Amino acid sequence: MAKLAARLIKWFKLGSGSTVPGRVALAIRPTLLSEWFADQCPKNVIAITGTNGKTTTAGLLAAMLEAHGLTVVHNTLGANMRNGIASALVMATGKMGKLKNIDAMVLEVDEASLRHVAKELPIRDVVVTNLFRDQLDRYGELDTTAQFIAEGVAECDPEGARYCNIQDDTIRGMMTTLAAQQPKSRFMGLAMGDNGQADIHPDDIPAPEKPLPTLLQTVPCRFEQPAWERPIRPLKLNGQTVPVAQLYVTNSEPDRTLGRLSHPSLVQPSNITIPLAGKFNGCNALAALAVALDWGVPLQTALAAMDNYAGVFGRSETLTVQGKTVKVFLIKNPVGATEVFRTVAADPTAHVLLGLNDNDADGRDVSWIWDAAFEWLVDIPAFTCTGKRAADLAVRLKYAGVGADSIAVVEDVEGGLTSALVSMPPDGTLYVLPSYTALLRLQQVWAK
Amino acid sequence: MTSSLPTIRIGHLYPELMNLYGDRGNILALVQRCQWRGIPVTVTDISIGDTLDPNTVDLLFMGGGQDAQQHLVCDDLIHTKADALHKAAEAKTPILGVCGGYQLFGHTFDPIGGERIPGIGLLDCHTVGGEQRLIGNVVIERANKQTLVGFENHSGQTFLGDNARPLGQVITGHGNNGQSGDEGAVSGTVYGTYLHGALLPKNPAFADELLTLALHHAANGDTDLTLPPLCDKTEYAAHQRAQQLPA
Repeated sequence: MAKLAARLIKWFKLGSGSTVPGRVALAIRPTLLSEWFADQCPKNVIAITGTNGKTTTAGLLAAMLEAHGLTVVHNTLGANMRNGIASALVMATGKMGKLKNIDAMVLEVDEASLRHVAKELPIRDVVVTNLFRDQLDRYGELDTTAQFIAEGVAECDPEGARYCNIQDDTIRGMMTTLAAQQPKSRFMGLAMGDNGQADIHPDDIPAPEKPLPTLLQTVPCRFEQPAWERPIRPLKLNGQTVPVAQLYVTNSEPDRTLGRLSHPSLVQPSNITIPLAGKFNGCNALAALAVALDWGVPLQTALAAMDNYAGVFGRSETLTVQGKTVKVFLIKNPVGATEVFRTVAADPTAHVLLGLNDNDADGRDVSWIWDAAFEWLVDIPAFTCTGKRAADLAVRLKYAGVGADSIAVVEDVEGGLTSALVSMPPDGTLYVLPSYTALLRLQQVWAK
Repeated sequence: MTSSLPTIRIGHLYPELMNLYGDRGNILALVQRCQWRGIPVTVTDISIGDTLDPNTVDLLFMGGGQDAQQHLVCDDLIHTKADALHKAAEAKTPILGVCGGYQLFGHTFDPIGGERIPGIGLLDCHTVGGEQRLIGNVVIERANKQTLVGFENHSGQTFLGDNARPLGQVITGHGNNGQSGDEGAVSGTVYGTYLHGALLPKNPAFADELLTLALHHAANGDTDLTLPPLCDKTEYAAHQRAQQLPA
């Protein structure tokens, strides 16, 4: 078995692409994960799951651990199902197909895949970032997704740590269930913002945000509030108050978030800067910091790693394309997209390229665009809509109050990018807001 | 001329509970299509515990929700809204239910392994849980040859009684139950359908059919009033593109 696996692994390392080696290796040896890799895993294995922020959180945590001198296996490129994880492991092997002196594994795991992967690999710790409605056509309903995650966590090391967003009611409920099932696991809450109950009482007041667009007042968006806008309530599990790692946001700017971090390992709260665009990335940074500090990474090392972190897989990164500034944010569900729109609306130089596909990886049902508050974008001077469902985006913008003259529809993604760049003044910033497979296509285009 | 058109009052039933699949888009379509025409429009949320006065609304909409929410809603619907909704239907108020809303407008919903959820019998149909969710793009054709495009995602299979007509015949997709070839239900001014997407923005003629009925209701039954025309080029481009999508 070992020899065969080794040969397979050597062979498939030659392949490229984020899931191909894993897919092929698993097809030939379905038990590759449990029978070959499980015994070689280090103690520090963490799974990061949830509907939003998995890739950024995992990327940040891996960068922090590496900056601390650890050798980390990490599935990059958002390949977060069984094949993608197997690929990451295959690519991390040396001679004889064995994992090379690995100190830690940081695995981004799809919500529904955790229950399978955790049966095969010794996952000790888990981060649950958020639970928003996402790709409902794939998993049916939000409660189903929560159920999948709970089943997955139940398969992980019962004495491991669980880092969970305690501002999300569904996750709180899940934590209570899990604490009853696995009383020896260690829970830590993640929370952003402050409602007076938390440890930090700041004197500064967050900067005022843009006023709510009129249409949003008439027809409000009713999706769940972003977690960090919900109250922070203490949570008791098995009779003990769950310790909380918290980020109190003092200033939210388009390109960075300033705040104060508290964590059980810190003597007192620390002022930190999160050099990532969008307030939602504060949650991701918080989750990564909470784990890194627990795993012994000094705060200064973790913050320096975050500064060097140049965006994982284009989910929020700045590029220069054809001499113009391009900022990229993946959009895939109402809550995340709305936060991105609020960030974009704060930039007076913004032009927008929206990309929407309806492939399986995007979610075949694009109706979520009606729950996202495109109304924030109403003052942007020019839009280009691209992807297979570009025409749907154009309708969405029209009903958000954008004039039809400001909207160009170019279904071909390469053509859409060119058209958006050509029509934008040199000092403009093009915000590229694609769904998952539209992003993959765009990356091929600007890699040329 | 448009200033003489009366205010259209939209009632949105259980907006915070029944809003699973972009149903906000339906309200947005109705509101914008009034505003672009200079027709005054209001939206009132009607939720758990609220009383519904059928004389204060010209159009009612109810979207879909998760099973847990549907149980919550059905209780309230029966006890505090059913009579008013039947009165509204008699007064020719257009009423649209999508997905879960559609199911609760029928007589009963029997989920697999779950307790029967009673409906309010606004539409002559009943729903039973199916083993498999019916998911995908849908195109249907109505009796007047109008096409409607949308996306369906439901485990319930709906069967029509003698007093309901289908909204249309399935061209692409599953429709009411995956077998009968029909989709949705209509009885008088009450409409039920599984199509979301959202439904109304990409089917502007259907949106206007509802708004015309609402306008007549708002004008105390004056059926001579018509909606000023709008340019629907953007909407029809998306409508036509949707007709080419695979199921």
